[in-house]
Amino acid sequence: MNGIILLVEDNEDDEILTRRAFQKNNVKNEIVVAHDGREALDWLFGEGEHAGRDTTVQPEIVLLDVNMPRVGGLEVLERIRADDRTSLVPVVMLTSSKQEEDLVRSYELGANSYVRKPVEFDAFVDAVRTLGIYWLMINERARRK
Amino acid sequence: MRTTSEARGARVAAAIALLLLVILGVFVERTTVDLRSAIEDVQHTHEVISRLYRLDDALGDAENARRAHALTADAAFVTDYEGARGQVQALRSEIRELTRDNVGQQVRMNELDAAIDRRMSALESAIAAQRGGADSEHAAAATRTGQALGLRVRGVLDAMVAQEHRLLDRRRNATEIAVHWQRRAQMVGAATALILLAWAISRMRRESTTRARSEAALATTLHSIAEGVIAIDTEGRITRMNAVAEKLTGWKRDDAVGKPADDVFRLEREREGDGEGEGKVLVAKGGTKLPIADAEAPITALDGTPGGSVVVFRDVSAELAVEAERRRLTAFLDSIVENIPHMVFVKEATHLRFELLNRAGEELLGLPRAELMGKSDADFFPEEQAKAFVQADRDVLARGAVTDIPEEPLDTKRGRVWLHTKKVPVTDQAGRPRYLLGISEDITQRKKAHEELAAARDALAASNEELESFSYSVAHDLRAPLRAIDGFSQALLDDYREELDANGQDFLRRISGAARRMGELIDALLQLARLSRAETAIQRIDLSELARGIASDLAVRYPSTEIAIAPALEARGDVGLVRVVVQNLLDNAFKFSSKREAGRVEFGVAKGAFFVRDNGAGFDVATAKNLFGAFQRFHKASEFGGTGIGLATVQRAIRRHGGKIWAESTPDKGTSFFFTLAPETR
Repeated sequence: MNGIILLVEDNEDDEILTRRAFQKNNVKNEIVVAHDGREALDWLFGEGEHAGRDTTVQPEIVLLDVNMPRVGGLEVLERIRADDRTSLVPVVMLTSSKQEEDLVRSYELGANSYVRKPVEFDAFVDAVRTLGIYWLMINERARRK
Repeated sequence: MRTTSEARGARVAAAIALLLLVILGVFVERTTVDLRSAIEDVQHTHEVISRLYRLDDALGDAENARRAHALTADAAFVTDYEGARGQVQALRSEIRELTRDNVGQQVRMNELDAAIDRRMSALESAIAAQRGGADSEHAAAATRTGQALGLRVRGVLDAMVAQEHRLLDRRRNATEIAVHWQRRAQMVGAATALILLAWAISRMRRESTTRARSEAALATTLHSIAEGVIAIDTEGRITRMNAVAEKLTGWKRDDAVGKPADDVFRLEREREGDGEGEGKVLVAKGGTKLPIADAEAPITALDGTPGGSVVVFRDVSAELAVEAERRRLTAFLDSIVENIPHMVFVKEATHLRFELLNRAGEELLGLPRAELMGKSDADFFPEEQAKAFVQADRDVLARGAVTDIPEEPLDTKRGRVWLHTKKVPVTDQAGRPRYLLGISEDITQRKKAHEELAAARDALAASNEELESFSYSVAHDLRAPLRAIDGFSQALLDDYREELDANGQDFLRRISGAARRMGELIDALLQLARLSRAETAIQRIDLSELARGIASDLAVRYPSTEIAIAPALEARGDVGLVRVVVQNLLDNAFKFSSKREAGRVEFGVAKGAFFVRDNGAGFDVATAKNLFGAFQRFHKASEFGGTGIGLATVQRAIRRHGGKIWAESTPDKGTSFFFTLAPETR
């Protein structure tokens, strides 16, 4: 259970609270944070400022915000699913939006879950715990050999 | 015509028969004369012959007298001789006279005369010698000479008699032939004349019966004709009239016949009319006036001489009434067509030329109809449009069915108008198209309004889209800071609790609580906005089941409140919207009855509507005018929580179904919310 968690989040408050929520739930995995979609793609595919990164190392789970500057969450999801290196990585859409369109579009593009960040921190902590337990411990993910 | 030619034939036949009889008479007369002369001829011949025989006798007497004288020398015999000689002379002259017409007999007569003269002179010389006393020898010689001469006379006589007998035979034959032919001719002629006469008579008799018969037929015909008939002679006097004429004129036939026609058939030209024989009024004997139609025809005899005239007339008051009714009906239909507020036009089917246009059409086209009649689309409208119209017209006529053209442009003098046109083929009894009827409604204004509406709808859609993206950013952008406020307040309480006194901790909890309420408020507002435009899927809903699901959650939060849900409540509606309704109403009911020791919530049907009833705080309905407006609160937030837009949301969800919601409430007694989920049917 030492896989990397890739958190794609442009809001620093949310980043801190998410980290705190993981911490509160004793999730010890390494958390890589990308602050927008561009950065996330660069890290995933070893491009741009992350050129040369060993792309055989891919995250155990991606927590992906929908609304972000430069490259949005839905586009990142699309790219992840289109690339052999990342197509099997579980992606959880973690967003403030409850827009029906985003929800449907996300699942169409191959998201594994869609979680709405609650305003209440307690509820948020609960949600993160549930996510962690399910995706990092219960769920058996497929991997390419 | 037939009877006239027959009559003429009969007359000719009779004339021929008469002529034949005359010819026959003349012929008979002539042959009778001939016969009489033939008979006279025969008698004549007989007379000649008898005289010749008597001459022979007289000659014999003279001979005998001479002989007797010679034997006896008695002078008395000389006297006999003288007598015989006188007789001979008389007969000779008679015979000569009788045979004067016959040259051959005259020649023989001369011979006879010569022979007789010599005989007579021989006889006289013998007598003289006797007297002188001649010897017996001399006497014998004289007798021999006398005998020779006697023979000579006899020869000539015989020749003459023979000749007369031949003549007699010939004449008898001729007479017989004449009699034979006369008889023949008489028979044939008489027979022919008789036949012709018989034929002519039968013809004439037939003609006369035909005439009598046709006279009867004429009288019957006249009286059975349904129109009045008056016959007038060349003097202008009435010769005949039938029963109808009697009735119409008021005159009895017996009184009218012989009167001048103008006295009986009195006409006034009063009535308006333009046709021949129209517009005449007959003034009857009693003075009553009657509209009639009449016709007059001259009568011409076979030989072409004028024979007066015949007037035929009839009472046209019934026809006039029918005609007036027809005119009234036509005018009525015309005025309907004329006043239809849509353009009505008719084109004939062959060349598609205009035959009719009503007033609305004139106004629409900006053309007086007189200018349009007999012309076609190409004479008035832009080429392309005219072609399209003609094509559509032909299609309609070919298909033989009413055709609807929802929208077609037409450039008129007043500018472009848009028409909604229906074209109808009008066929004759055999089903061939005769006319094209068109009814066009000017939809220019409507089309304009429609376009404006479409523009407004587009604008609304655009603004809805804007609103949506606004809602989206509200959802996302407002929630994130709220989460931060709550999250970091929580972090402070968690990590720095020891460094804060009770007051500080309370502040942080209030900060956190306010952030959460604002989150709820934002969610509620977003839901309210979404309700207005979310698509609805109407289906059958088990309301009891739905309410039970919601109530079981609420029962956990409000354990002191009892809930009673009527079984088998069913409705048709959109599940999402109905859930919002029931959720909010039950929420409210539980909330407001939560302060009761024994709170009670009911969900059921009454007054033709579903209801949710509580025994909670209640409110004054009179002051609750804006019960269903957003952000309307009737209790302090500290007393009962909530966003203040729950009922607004409920009302909107119900209105999406076409239903109604209303409330009955008594302060401190409780509240009932009634709602329906469909438009009232009665």
